[in-house]
Amino acid sequence: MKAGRLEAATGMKELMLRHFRAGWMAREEGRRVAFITSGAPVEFLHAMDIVPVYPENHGAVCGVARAGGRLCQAAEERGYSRDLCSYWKIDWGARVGPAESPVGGLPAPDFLLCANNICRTVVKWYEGLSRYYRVPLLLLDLPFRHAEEVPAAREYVREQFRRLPGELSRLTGRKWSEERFRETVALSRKASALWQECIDANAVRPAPFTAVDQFLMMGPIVTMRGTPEAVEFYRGLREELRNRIRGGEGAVKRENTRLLWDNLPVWHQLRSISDFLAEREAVLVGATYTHAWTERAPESPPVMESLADAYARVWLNMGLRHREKVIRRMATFLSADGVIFHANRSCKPYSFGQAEVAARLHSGGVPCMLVDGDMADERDFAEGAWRTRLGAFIEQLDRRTDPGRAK
Amino acid sequence: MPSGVEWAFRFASETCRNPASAVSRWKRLSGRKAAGCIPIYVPEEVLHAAGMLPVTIWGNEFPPSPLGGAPPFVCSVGAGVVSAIRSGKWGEIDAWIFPSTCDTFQNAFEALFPPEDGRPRFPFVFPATGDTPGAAEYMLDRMEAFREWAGEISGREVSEGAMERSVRMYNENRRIFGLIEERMTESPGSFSGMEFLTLSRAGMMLPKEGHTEILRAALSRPNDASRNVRAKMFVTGIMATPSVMKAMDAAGAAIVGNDLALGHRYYSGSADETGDMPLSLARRHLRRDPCSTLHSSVRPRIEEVLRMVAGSGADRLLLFRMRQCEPEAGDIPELASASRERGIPFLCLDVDLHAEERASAKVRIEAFVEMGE
Repeated sequence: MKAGRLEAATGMKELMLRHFRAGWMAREEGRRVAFITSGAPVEFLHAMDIVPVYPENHGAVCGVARAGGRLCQAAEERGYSRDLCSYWKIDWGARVGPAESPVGGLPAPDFLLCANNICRTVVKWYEGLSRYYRVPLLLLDLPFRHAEEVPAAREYVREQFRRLPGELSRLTGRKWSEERFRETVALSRKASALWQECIDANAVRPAPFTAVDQFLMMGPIVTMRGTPEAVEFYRGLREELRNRIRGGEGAVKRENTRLLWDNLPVWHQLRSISDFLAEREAVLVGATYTHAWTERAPESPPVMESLADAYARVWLNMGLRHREKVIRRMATFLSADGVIFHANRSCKPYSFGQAEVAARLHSGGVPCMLVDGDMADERDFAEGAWRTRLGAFIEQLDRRTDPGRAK
Repeated sequence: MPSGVEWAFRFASETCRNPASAVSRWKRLSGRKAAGCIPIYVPEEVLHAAGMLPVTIWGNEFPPSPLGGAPPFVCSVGAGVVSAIRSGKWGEIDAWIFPSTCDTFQNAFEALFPPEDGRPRFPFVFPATGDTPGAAEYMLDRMEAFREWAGEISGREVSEGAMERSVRMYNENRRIFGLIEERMTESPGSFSGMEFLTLSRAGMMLPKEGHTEILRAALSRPNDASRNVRAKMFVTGIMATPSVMKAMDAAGAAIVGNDLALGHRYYSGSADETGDMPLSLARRHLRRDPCSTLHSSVRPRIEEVLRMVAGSGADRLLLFRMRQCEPEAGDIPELASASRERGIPFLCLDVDLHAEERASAKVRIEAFVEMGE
């Protein structure tokens, strides 16, 4: 039903293993380790040769390995609430039981870099990490943007970015190089542009790769923005996708229904959801989550300011009208027949408001469905309900596009 | 004829029982507008100076409506607000202010209003911390924008003089509320939990001038030495419900200190009464007592709560955990450990405004009171 595995997947696995190992090896190599949130400007760390470690990324890895439930439970035994973000609980669970983590947990950080542009939860999470490891916490406060940009907010964020090199120098004892920073941002920009080319490749029929592939290939764009490795990886992926397109090879053998995905994936069900869709000749052609990583610093204004502006307008820091507009644009560009909204219990900022966005899209002729789940805690996944709802949704879409074809 | 004290409690209590009618009555009498404030950090002085009545909506003013439609992972405060607005309640409110307290309220600002609801609304996106460089300038800019908006909505320019008067009025109200809290610390049981909740909540719906008078009247009541205090509790969390407070009162638990969002966190911290008023209000925000929704590296919240517990003479720490409230939930394990390490028994009690487990809460509170007696 599905096409062969992408060759890039192998390179990706090696790259990510190297990334996790780098954290463990850092001290031996005389490098510092910083825990960083997925929405924080990692370019600063790469420019100073600091090893970034992503607890969120670790949460996703544990989710894929279906270790999330056990690790969350360990955190709940400690007193964390059942309704707390599963990435946070996995992080705690892996600290007390690293053997449960497929990568053996995470190394201890030297300091923490947290940006609240993805949620406010990470601030509490990182406050706890700061107390636990007794390390400094650098917080970047990026005000939420409901509509038009507020000039004072822009300046507020830019000022924090301008001060960050000084803070990092103070923490690491290393000298800041403006030149190296520029190079890093240029590499980051290049990687994001390549990533965009990759996901835009799905505008063709049949789509050369699925959003599930994208979820699995997004590790480097999250963790290695600003490195030559990320650029090289996405250049390779782009070539492979181009070859598929040239050969008319699609991600699924028969592509009939094209869908978009909103929210983080259900990491622990990637394969089952992908197979389920492929069996029904449906393909996920895009996802707002993978699309979010195409945001990049423009060429002007100066690099520090443009980077600040880019991080201030990441997907989760923007209002629902913006999200609706982007989904509508994606649906048109990728010729999507409908949108699956994953109401992710663990991610309130992504999920609260999805119903309203879906209703607006629906009234504009874009069919939508909402289904509950959790990104990394497999205990919060009702397989039967998912299958029933997804199946019904695809049938409904089939009836629209080809009344005689409904299965 | 009820005494002044009885009247004060009765009035506050009636306001809490039927807040919409209290707001409606005020509007009828004053001919002015009411502004709905989503908890917790709206600089109400600006609204007051614009001649409006700031009304803090906690989501439990009306029973939940089937038209609500908030997803299950939203806390009951957020769900209650969504439910009330979508089902056409709170028609008395002329304009809304949504502070960036948490992810839920931030998204609610955009998600909850039906298209036909054209009431003006202001998203007050404030700095999440006073530690960051530029926070004061940014906050000041937001304060000025809010001042301009309030002037437009009310049709009354918010002058510096009006703001000064409002700042004084609010400071006085906070000072008197602080005296209530002090009395509760010094004379455990001087106000019951239910009385405390009523006095605190009423002040979020009544004009501050009137509320201050109610607080003064409450303070004029002589202490009742006959009250049997079995446990001295420090309570923290977002808020407690009337049924929980009644259970505490029935079990003989006296509140001797609190860090409730619907309590101390709302009333604490005064603004400078001289100088530039928007700047004074911006500074007040940045100097707030530690809160789970704000970050402070200078005064971390857990240490601050424990300091307050010690200062109150409490022998137990009770945390009301609002279900689905991530900022509060994140502190629980460490607060629990730190409290127990200091020999202070700790209990975490789940609160859901629309799905209360009264019997279980009552049993747990009774057991907590009996513990160590």
